Amino acid sequence: MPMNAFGLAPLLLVFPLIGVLFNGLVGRRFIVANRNTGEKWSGWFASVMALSAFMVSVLLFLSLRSHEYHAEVVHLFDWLAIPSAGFRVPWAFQIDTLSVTMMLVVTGVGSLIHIYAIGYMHGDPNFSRFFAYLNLFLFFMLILVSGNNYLMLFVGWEGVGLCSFLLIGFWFDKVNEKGEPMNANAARKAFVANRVGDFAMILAMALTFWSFGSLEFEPVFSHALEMFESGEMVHFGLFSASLGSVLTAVTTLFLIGATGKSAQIPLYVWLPDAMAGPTPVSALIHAATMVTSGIYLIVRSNVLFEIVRASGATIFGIVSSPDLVAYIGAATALLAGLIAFTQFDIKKVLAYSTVSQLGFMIAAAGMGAYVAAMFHLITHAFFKALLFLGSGSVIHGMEHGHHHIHAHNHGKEVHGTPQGDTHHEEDNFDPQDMRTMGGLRYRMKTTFIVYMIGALALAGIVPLAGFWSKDEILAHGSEHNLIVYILLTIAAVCTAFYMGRQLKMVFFGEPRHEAAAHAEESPAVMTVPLMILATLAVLGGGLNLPFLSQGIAETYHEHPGGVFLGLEGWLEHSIAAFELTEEGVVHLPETPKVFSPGVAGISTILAVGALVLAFYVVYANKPKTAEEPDPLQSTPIWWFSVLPLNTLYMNYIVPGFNRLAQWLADKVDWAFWHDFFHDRIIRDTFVGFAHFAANILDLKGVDGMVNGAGSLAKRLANWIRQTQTGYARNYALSIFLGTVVLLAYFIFMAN
Amino acid sequence: MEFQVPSLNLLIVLPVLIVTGWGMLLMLAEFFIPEEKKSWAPWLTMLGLVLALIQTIGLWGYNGGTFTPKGGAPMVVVDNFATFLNIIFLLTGILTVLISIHYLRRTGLDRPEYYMLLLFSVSGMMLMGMANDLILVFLALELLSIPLYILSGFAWPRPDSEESAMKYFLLGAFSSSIFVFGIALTYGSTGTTSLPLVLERISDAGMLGLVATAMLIVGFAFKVAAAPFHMWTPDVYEGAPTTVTAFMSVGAKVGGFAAMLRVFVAALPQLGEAWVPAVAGVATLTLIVGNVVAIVQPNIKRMLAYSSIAHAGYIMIAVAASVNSPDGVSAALFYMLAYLFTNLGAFAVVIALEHKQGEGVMLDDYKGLGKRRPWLALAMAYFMLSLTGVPPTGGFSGKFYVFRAAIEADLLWLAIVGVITSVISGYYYLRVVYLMYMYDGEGEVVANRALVWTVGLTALATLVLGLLPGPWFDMARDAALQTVQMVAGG
Amino acid sequence: MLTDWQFIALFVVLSPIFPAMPVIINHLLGPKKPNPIKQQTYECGIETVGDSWVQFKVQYYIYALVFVIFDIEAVFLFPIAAAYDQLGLFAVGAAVLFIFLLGDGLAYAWGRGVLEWV
Repeated sequence: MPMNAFGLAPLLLVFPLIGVLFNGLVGRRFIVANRNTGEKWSGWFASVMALSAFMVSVLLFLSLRSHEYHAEVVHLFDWLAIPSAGFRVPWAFQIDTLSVTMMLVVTGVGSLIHIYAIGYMHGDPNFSRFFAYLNLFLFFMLILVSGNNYLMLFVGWEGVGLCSFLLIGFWFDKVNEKGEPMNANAARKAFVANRVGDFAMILAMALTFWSFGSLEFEPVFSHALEMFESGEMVHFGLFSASLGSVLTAVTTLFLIGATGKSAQIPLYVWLPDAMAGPTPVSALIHAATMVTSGIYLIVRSNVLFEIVRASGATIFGIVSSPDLVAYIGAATALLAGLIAFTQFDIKKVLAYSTVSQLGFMIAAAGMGAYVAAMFHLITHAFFKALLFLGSGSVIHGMEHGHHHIHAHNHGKEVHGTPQGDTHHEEDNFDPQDMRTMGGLRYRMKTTFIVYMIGALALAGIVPLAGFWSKDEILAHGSEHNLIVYILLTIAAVCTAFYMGRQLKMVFFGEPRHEAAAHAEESPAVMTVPLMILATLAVLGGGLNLPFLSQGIAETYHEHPGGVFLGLEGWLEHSIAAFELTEEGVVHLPETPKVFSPGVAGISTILAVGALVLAFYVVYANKPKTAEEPDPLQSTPIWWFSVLPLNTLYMNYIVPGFNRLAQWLADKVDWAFWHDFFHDRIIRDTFVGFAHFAANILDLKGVDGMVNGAGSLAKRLANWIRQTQTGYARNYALSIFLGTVVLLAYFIFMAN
Repeated sequence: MEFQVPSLNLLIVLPVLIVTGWGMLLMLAEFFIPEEKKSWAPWLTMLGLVLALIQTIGLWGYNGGTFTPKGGAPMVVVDNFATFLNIIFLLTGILTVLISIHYLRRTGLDRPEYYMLLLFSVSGMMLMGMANDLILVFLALELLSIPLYILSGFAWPRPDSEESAMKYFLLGAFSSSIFVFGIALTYGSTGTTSLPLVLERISDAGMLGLVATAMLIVGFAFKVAAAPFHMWTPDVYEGAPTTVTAFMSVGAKVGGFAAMLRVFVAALPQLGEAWVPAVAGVATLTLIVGNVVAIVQPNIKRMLAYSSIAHAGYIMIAVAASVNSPDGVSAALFYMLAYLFTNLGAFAVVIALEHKQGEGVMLDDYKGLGKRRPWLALAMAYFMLSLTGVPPTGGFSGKFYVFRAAIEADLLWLAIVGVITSVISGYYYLRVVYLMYMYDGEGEVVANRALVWTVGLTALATLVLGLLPGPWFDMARDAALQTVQMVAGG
Repeated sequence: MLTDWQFIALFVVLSPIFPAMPVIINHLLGPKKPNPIKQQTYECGIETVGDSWVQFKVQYYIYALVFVIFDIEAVFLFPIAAAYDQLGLFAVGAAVLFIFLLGDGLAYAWGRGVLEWV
């Protein structure tokens, strides 16, 4: 009997919600009662809830397997429904291979990060609030990936945005050298940038519903395919438009949404600043999960993108929307990769690297290599989470070293000091600055080894996870889009180079600061998750080895669900394998994945070369002290530290926007809208009407109403004045008159 | 003549018995509780209400009646309609107790009779929903009203409180007499006061039946504060202690609608042709008067009084739609559920600002609340949005269902009036939000824990009803079906 | 032949005549010899004190209210007592409950001090 655990799907949301309630309502009490046990309760409770959600995901995965990978919709209830208008948005779970993949990544990596955070956040005054937010994030992220319609996806989309905002600003009282609230500003920046994307999402949803009469994935996609086959036009009341152009609009709007959430050009500026949040947050939200929701959106809507591609519709005759997706992804990958060269903050490097890798995924999705995009999404979740958590461990160690010196100088021991990226009252020591590090490989062995694995995986060294996934994207590019391929290859070289630079600066050479010399390894609660992630970063490539599925494709078709055959065979059930031609939909047999030894060889050689360049040439000797400039500072590459859009954003867009807003506020809003429209038309009408009603209808306050009016009105006013003044008898009279009118009406009705 | 003992099933009316009995118990317990433990009174009251609530929830799905005379219909029915409404009444009672505790202490109104009267009034409301006989409707109406008359004068020797009690009492007696006249004429024309029997015979009643209907409308319209029978409302709401105002604005209104729905939908649907336009007309007038006059009110209690008049208008729309649309009754029920949370939440904030009796109730006192108490201001803003009917709030969902029912019942024009007046209402509701966030101001805010919990819970409930109205509306639909079936079944 | 309503109309017209008749006859036939003592307000042989428009103590009214409640109780209990044989246990229960409710009110009034004459 096939196992069926689909009914458990709602538990996915229930567990994190319980965690939120626990930590939001009572977690703090535990901690107030007893710091250490309280933290254990709070942190482990949240972690267990995350793990439980992971277990549910595993059960769903197993159910799908025994269900021959057929998608299942678990319908809870109708959320909004207008039967007469045919409008129906259910609260239902889409359980298919794509969503389960995302669930596994989100809950799996999420659980590890929860556990890690128990150690990392130790001593923070808002410990339980942090875990409440983390669980809340999981809750919304699971809504996002599990919903069977765009509206649920959007609810999750907004929810994770909210959590991101809350968590970036978690240490909202932290200020920079100029006394500006930098974390609060970073949170706001993320919020504003995302609003642009969200607006596009709302438009896209409205357009989708208008065109296809539904927001559920399945009906929208099948309806779109039918229309494509029949060549029907989309009708909007009196107007009609071709399917291709409508979907171009929808997919372009989706792309704008994705550029916001997944930090692509031009909205990527918020992500590097978002690193102001606690490091577990950077790992979970801003590297592994939330920022990939844009990719999920595009992969989920692959049918729509493919229809656009097949219909040949373009944006103003320049470029088709899937191609635009690919170009934006590739350009982002390259630009962010170059900017990462110039960063000194250990987390900023990783942040730009994330933007760059997200660009890889977006580019892959744009080229139609959806499986490759998902594959890279998964491996990236492993090794980027690993790198962020590793960097957190480094920062943690550096802080310990710093406190060690500090305590030593004052001749007393400091216990249970707050750490992480918290305040540093006495000097300007920055535990995240790579220039103050160096030589940490001796002091922090475990961290060094796992960080090394993560960095090599990211750089794309055989046989680590990153190599396989990145190569699959590059191979696709070499076949389908040469420009994208070249851009991405350069970006891959950049990746190897900046990771080499980082490794060298952090772990090799001599300690350049006393703190680095006294750094300490982090506790096991932090290193164990790191080791698990490192294992995944090594083995993750096995999910979709090119040789694997090609050979066993036939076996697979004979025994569907028998063995797990790699991502390709697995995701095939969610990502429709079809080709659209003028005649209609042609379903394709399973497409063997692309593996080109040439491409793989080139990229490997380039990556190794870049690593060697960084290690033994550029950073072979320098910098030896914290003050010494980076050798790259004399090269044109350094321009990217001043050139990028971030500067543009701060110097031009923000003031420009402010000026525009000011002008709008002054001229349009104040002069026209407020003075004229609001004061004259609306308020005067309302107030006049209201006064009229208050006086005549309600027998109250006649003052001023009839000043200067004719004698008739005056007599009326006098009469009203006599009958008003809040006497009960007048009220009774009103009741009586009302009764008489009603009676008259009914008697009239009777006759 | 042999006397027939009516069939009894006291278990199903247990919630009402609990509430009444608890009230009587509290009445005497006062003399035996030592002075220093008097602060238990609200919690004891709460215990009684919660017990009754648990009982009531247990009755969900039950469908039957009791106090059945031989060969007649039961005087009291317990169906999902009654149970749904009883849940609303009990929640109203519980939330009122929560917002009252600290308020009564700081204003010196903490007399034990308060909670006792509250319980009696709640029991009257519960009977309103369960009454299946016009005599019982009248009894319930009085049981609901008389404690309210006393409660509105509870702030004696403050003159405006006494004045409000007096006005409420006089006008209440006046409208009650018209209502009783309506009952008498119904009896005169059909020979019965039992609603199922009235249903059978009313079509032959001729003009007398119509006159009776008109008078019944007057009685209900007074209770729910519909124009032109609303004029007591602003004075009474302003004068009464704010907690009583909160209680009245929800409980008495929903109570009135409970019996009105039962009487008009279960007993008088055949006269629908006659009364639907009348109710629609009353609704229109109510909507216009309530929403327009609210604009010029500088006092928040008065503004909310006019707002509550306006909301009576929206529920009236659903009542008017209930004959020709299957969802009319359920829309009204859902609307009242949403209104319960939103309005009590808003009043809870008003109470937080009323640091002394009668102070801090002007709109100007809300200036700068956004800076002083950001959470409280956020909640208030949310309640105001819900009262306006902006998604995603319970108020929006309620209006949505009501207007949909109106359109289904071929009352498109009424739905349009509703929408236009909703837009007008935005003006005065959003002015509160505007004052809270756009100005600076100062003033004491007293928010103790029970009050904060109330605000939080009501805001959460409003949010839930706004985000996930489906299941709750399905519940309301379950509750309404039986009333409609009774119509169909005769 | 008279209908029911005409009887009532006749009754309404005729009934005032009967109480009015003795007063009028008395007024017409009786001798009239007034003196100051005869003209005084009659109050049980005691001389009147002050104006008759005085304010009563509010307790009179509360007292009266409580009295009226129990007065009416008797009215309700009488038929039950009269028909006790046919009514059975139910009526006894109802009557007991009724008395209990009134007793509850009385106990409350007592506790509030209404019965104490200050």
